[in-house]
Parts: sequence; structure tokens; C-alpha cells
Amino acid sequence: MTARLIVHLKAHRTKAGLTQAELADAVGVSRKTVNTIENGIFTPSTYLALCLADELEVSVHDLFELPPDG
Amino acid sequence: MSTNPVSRIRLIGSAMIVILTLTAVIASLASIGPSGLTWAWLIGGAGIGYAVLSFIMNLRHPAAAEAAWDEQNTAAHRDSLIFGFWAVLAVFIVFLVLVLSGLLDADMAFFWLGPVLGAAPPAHYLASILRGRAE
Repeated sequence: MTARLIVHLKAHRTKAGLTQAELADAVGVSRKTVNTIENGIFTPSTYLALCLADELEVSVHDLFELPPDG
Repeated sequence: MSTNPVSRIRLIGSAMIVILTLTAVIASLASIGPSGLTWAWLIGGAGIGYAVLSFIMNLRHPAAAEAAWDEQNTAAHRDSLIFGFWAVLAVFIVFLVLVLSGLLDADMAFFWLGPVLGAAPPAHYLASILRGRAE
């Protein structure tokens, strides 16, 4: 199962006024990891997805969406 | 280059081992430079030095270490070890054929498996960094 997710992380991060580095520091990952998640290159674990959603005060479904055919 | 000190040491250490190994291979094939044993000491010493420095940096910068070993970097590291396994297996089979056909000395083949084993995972990890899949 290799379908790529539709990612809305960047929009929510920008809305929260955070840089990639600040969000990365807040959830304990590298800036590169936040960058690759935003670009749909890396799919985070459930735990990290929950941490990101918690930090941005949104739900995981607000950050990630299955593609229409998914 | 990353601002994370642990990631920076990992990048420099990996690059150093790969460059040293490639230089040793090229020098040996061209029959120039120091002996194979000297190269082995150089590569081994660099590898041990990198491991010690990396261990110290992980202890001194725990928060940076956590970010440097996050799930994406851990996945890239795991992939590099898998690549290392297949690289060594492939090289072993090539060396086996060369030794059985008398084109390569068995002692030399055994000697060169060490650098391949040590340099293949860092080479793969470097490729992951260059592809933007790790830090």
C-alpha cells in the first residue's frame, strides 16, 4: 500500500505562525522530517502525526487526507 | 548542512569513511600510495574515531540526538544497513568467483570485504541525505 497522502501540514503550520524548525523542535524531530512530511515524501507514524496535530491544535484528519481513490 | 550537531557529525563521519574507502580502492587498483594495511588502519581509525565522537555528541546533546535519530532518519539508517547487507553479499559472490577462477588472492578478497562492509551503509546514508530523505 503505497498511496500518497494529501498533506495540509504546511497550511496549518503557517496559520499557527511556526517555521519548520520551530515545529520540528516542538515535536522532537529534525527540520528535514517536517519538510519531507509537508512535501508528501515521508509519511509519519501515527504517533508523530498525533504529536503534530496536538502541537498545531487540530485533528490528524485536518493535517492528512486520503487521496480520492484511497 | 544541518544545524543539528549530531546530524553534522554523522554527515562528516559518513562522508569521511566513504571518501577514504573510495580513495583506498582507487589507489590500490592503480598500485599507488600506501600499502593496503596502512589504508586499513586509516579507514578503521577514522571509523572508530567517528564512532567515539558520535557517542560523545549523542551524550552531550540529548535533544539534538533525539531529532537526529527521529523516525525518518532511523528509517534511512535502517535502509542503509539493508543496502550494506546486500552490497556485501553481492561483493562476496563476485570475489568468490574471482578467487575460484584464480584472478584474485583469497587473503586480498577477505581484506577488501571489510571496507565494503564498513563503507556501503554510510554511502547509502549519504545518498539519502543528498536526495533530501535524511539529515
